[in-house]
Amino acid sequence: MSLLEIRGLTVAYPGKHGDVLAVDGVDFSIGKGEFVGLAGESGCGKTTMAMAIPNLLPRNARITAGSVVFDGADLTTMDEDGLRTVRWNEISVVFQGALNALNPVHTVGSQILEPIRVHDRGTSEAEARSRMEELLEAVGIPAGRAGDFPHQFSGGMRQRVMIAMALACRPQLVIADEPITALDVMTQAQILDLLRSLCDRYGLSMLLISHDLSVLAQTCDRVAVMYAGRIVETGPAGRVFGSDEHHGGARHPYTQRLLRAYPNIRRERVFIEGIPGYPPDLTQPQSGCRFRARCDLAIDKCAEEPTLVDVGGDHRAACWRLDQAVTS
Amino acid sequence: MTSDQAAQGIDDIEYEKPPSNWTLLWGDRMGRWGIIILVVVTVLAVFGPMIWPFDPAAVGEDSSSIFQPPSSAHWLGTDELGRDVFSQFLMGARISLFVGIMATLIATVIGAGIGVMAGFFRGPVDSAAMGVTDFFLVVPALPLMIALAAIFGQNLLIVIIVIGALAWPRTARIVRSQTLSLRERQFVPRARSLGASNARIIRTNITPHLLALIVANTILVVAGCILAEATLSFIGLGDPNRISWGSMLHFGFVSGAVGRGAWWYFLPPGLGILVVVLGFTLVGQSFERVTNPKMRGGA
Amino acid sequence: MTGGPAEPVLSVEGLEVHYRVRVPGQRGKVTARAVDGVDLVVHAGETLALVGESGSGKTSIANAVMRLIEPAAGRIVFDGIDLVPLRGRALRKMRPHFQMIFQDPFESLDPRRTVLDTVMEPLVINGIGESADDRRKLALVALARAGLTPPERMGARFTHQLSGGQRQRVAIAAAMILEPALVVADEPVSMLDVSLRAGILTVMADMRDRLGVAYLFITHDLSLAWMFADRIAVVYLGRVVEEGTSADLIDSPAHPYTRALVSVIPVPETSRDAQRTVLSGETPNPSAIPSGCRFHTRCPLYRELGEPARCREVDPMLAEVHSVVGGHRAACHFIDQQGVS
Repeated sequence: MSLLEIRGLTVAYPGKHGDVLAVDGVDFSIGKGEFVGLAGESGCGKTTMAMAIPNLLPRNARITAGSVVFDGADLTTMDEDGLRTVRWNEISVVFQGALNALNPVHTVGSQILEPIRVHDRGTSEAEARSRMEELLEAVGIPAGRAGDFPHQFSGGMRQRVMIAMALACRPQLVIADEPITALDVMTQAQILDLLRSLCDRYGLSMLLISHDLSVLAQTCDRVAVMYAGRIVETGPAGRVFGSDEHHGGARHPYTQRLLRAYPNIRRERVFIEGIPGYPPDLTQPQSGCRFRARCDLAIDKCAEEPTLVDVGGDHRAACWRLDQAVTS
Repeated sequence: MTSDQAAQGIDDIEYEKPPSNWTLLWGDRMGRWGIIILVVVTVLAVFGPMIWPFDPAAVGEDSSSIFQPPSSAHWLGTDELGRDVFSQFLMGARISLFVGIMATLIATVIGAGIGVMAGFFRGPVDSAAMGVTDFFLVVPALPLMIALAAIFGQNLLIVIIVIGALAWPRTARIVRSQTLSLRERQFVPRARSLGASNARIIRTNITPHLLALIVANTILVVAGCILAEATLSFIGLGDPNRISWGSMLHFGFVSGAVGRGAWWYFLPPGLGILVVVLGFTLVGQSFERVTNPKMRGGA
Repeated sequence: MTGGPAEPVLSVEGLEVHYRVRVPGQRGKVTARAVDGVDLVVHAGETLALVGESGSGKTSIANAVMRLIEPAAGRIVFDGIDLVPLRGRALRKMRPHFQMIFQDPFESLDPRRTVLDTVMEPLVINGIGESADDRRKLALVALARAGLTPPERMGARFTHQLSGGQRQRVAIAAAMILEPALVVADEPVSMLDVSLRAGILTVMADMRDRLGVAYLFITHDLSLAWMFADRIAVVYLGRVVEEGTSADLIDSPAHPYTRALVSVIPVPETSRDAQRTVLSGETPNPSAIPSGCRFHTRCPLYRELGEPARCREVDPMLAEVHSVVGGHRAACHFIDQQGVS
C-alpha cells in the first residue's frame, strides 16, 4: 500500500487564452520509506505537482481534477484546518530557494523549535529542546551551534538547518524542491547523502525534485520524468538509468535524449547532444504526445494520447514508439 | 540543427509591448490630477497675460482705485497702488514656474553629474563628492540663500543660481546609489571588456537607465524650487522688478493688506503656490511609482 | 579536438588577487587571498578549463585575465605583452583580442538594446567597419553563425524578448565578432536548461574549429570540462592543485582533492561500483588559508597517512605526475603514496 497515491491530478492556472494546465492528469505514487526523484526541465510542472500534494499552490492555481490520497485521506477535498494538521506533522516541504528563507534575526535553534511548538502542542519545553538538538546532530550540525544565527552558516549548513526544520514534527513524507541547486558539487554530495541516510534511518518517504537527472540517478529508489505537465516515464532508478541490456535503460525518447545531454565520464568522451525545438506552449490546448514535435520517432499515431505502459519491472513509459525507442 | 533550434519557438511567442510611462502615469489617479493641475497652470501662465486686458504694472488713477475688492472688471480686485491683482497673479505664475524650472535644471545637471561620477568611480572621487553633498545637505538652506542673495544682489538670474546651487544634493544622493547598483550589472564589465572607455560606458550603459529616475526626481525638485523662490521673494530677497507669487505675498504683507482684510491680494498667490507645488509633487511621486517596478502595485 | 600545442596565447604567472573583506567576529577588514599564486598557460586554439567550487577563486582569475579587476601581483602575458601595467587607451587597444562570455545572459546584455545593436556595439566601440551598413552586415553574419536565424528578424528583437539560450547566443555572437584570439567563458551554460546546453557549446566548439579561438573555460562542472576542454586545471582556495589533459585528469586524478571531486561527479546512470569520497566540511575562507598544504584540513590522504607534519608545514608546488601523455602536474607531497590508478 502506497503512502501517497495521486490519481489523474490536474492543476490549472488562469491564462490569457483560457486555463494553462501545468499538471495534466498525472498518476503518481510514493511508497512508505521510498525515495522518489522527480525530474524535468524548467516549466515542466514538477514543482506545481509537488506543491499540489499538501495543497500549497499559489493563490491563482486550482486543482481541477484528480485525487491526492495520503495515508487513506484525500487531501484535495480536505478543509484548511485538516490540511494544517497534515502539513509539518505528516508532510513537510523544503522549499526551493530555502537558503535565504531563514529568519536572520532568530537563532537557528529557535527556528527549528518553532514548528515543534506550533504543531506539536503537547511537547514540553525540555522535550522540544532535546528534539531540536537531536535534529541538528542528525543533519550534521553540532548541537552547540543552536544559538548561532543564519548568517554565521554557509549555504550548505543553512540547507541542513532547513532539512532539520522539515523533520521537526516527524513527518512521514518530505518534499524537497531543488534542495541542492545553488550548492557546490561536494556540498551537493553531502546533502544528498544526508537525505538518503535520513530516509533510511527514520523510514521517511522522500520526494526529491531536481532539474538534474544525473543527481537523481545515484540517490533515488525510483524516478519520474515530467514533460509539459505529464509524467512521461517512471520506474526504479536502476532500470530507468540502467546502462546495459539487463537493466533496460530509459525508454521514452525524451528521457533518452535528456540523458544524452549530460556528459558521462564513465563512458566514451563524446559531445553532448541537445534537444531541438522548445517545449510546447501550454497556454494553448494540448493533445496527443506532448513531445512529438521534437521527437525523431514521431508518427501519425502520436497525435493520440499515449498512456504509461509497463515495460517490465514496474518501469513504465508513455510512448507509442516503445518498440523503436528501445534500440535507439 | 542548432540554427533551426533557435529559429523555432520565436514565431509562436507573442510579445506584449509594455505600456509607456505616460500611459501608466495617466492611469494613476494621483498622477492624473497632478497632470491636470500642471496643464491648467501652465496654460494660465503662458496665455493668461496675453489675454487679460490689464497691465500688471499700471497703477490706478486715484485713491479710490486702491484695495478694491473683486469686481467684474478686476476679478481679483486691486492692490495698494490700484494695480490689477489678477494680472499680477497671471504674471507671477510665469515667474514662479520659470524660476522653479530653471533652478531645477541647474540642480539636476549638478546633482546627476556628481551622483554619476561618485557612483561610477567610487573610491576617492566618491568620498570627495559625497563629502560636498553631505555638507550641502545639512547646511541650513534658508540662511545660506539669504546670505548669498544679499551678497550677490537681487535679480532673477542670481535667484535662479542660488536656488539651483542648493537644491542638488538629494538628486546627487539618489543618482549615486542607483549608479552604484547599475555598475554591478554584468553589462558594465561586458562593455569594458569590449574596449569601451569610461565615458562611453557612462553615456551608453549607465545614463539611459537613470533617465526615468532623474525625471521623477526632477519633477519633485521643481516643487521645492518654487517654494524656495516664494520664500526668498516673500522675505524681500527676490528680484524687485519682477512680479512673482512670492513677491506678491511680500508686498501684500508690507502694504498692510492682511490687516485691512484685503484677502484677494494675498490669498491667490498663496493658493497658487500651494496648488502648483501639489501638482508637481503628485506627478513626481506618481512617476516615481510607475517607473520603479519595485514600488509599483504597492499603493 | 585540436592539434598539438602551439604558441601560448595567454600565460599567467604568479597571479594574486586580494580583496579586503569584513570577517564576522573580527574588527576592521582583513585581506582575503582569493587568488594566491596561479600559473596558467593557454595555447592558441586550445581550450583550458578552470574547474573549482565557489570560493576557489576561478571567477577572480577570469576577471583578472580580462583586466576587469586589478591583480595584487603577477603577470598576465597575452600574445607576448604583459597586460598588467597597461592602462587606459593602451589597454583598450588590446581588448578586442581577448573577449568574455558572461555567466548570466539575463544580466550581461543591456535590456534596452536590440540584438543587432548589441552585436554591432563591439564594432562601433573599436571603430571597425567602414560604415554602419558594413557593421550591420558583419553583425548579421555573426548572428547567423551563432545560430540565431533568420538573423534579420532576430536582430530586430530586444534582448529582453529572448530566452536564456538565445541571449547567450547573442553574447557569443558579440564576443566573436571581434575575432578574438582568446575567449574567457565564465560558466556560459550553468544558467541554462540541460537540453539547451549542447546547442550553446556546439556553437562555441564550432567557433573554435572555424576561427581557431582559444578558450579559458570557467566551470564548476568537472564532467562538462572533461567533455569540452583539451586540458583541465583544478583550482582550490586560490591555487591550481592539479592540471593535465582532460582524459588524463579524469581517468587518473592524482591530487586527493581532484580524486574526491571526480568521485562525486553526478553521472546519469546508476553506478554499481561507485566508490564516492565525499569530503566533509567546506572550503576554508580565503582570508584564513590553512598553513602548509591548503587542502590538508579536509584531505582524506592526510588522515590516512597519520597526519604528516609536512602537509601542515610545507606548501606543495605543482610537480610532474608520471603519465602517458605528459603535462600532468599536481601539488601534493604524497602523490606517490596513493598511486595513480
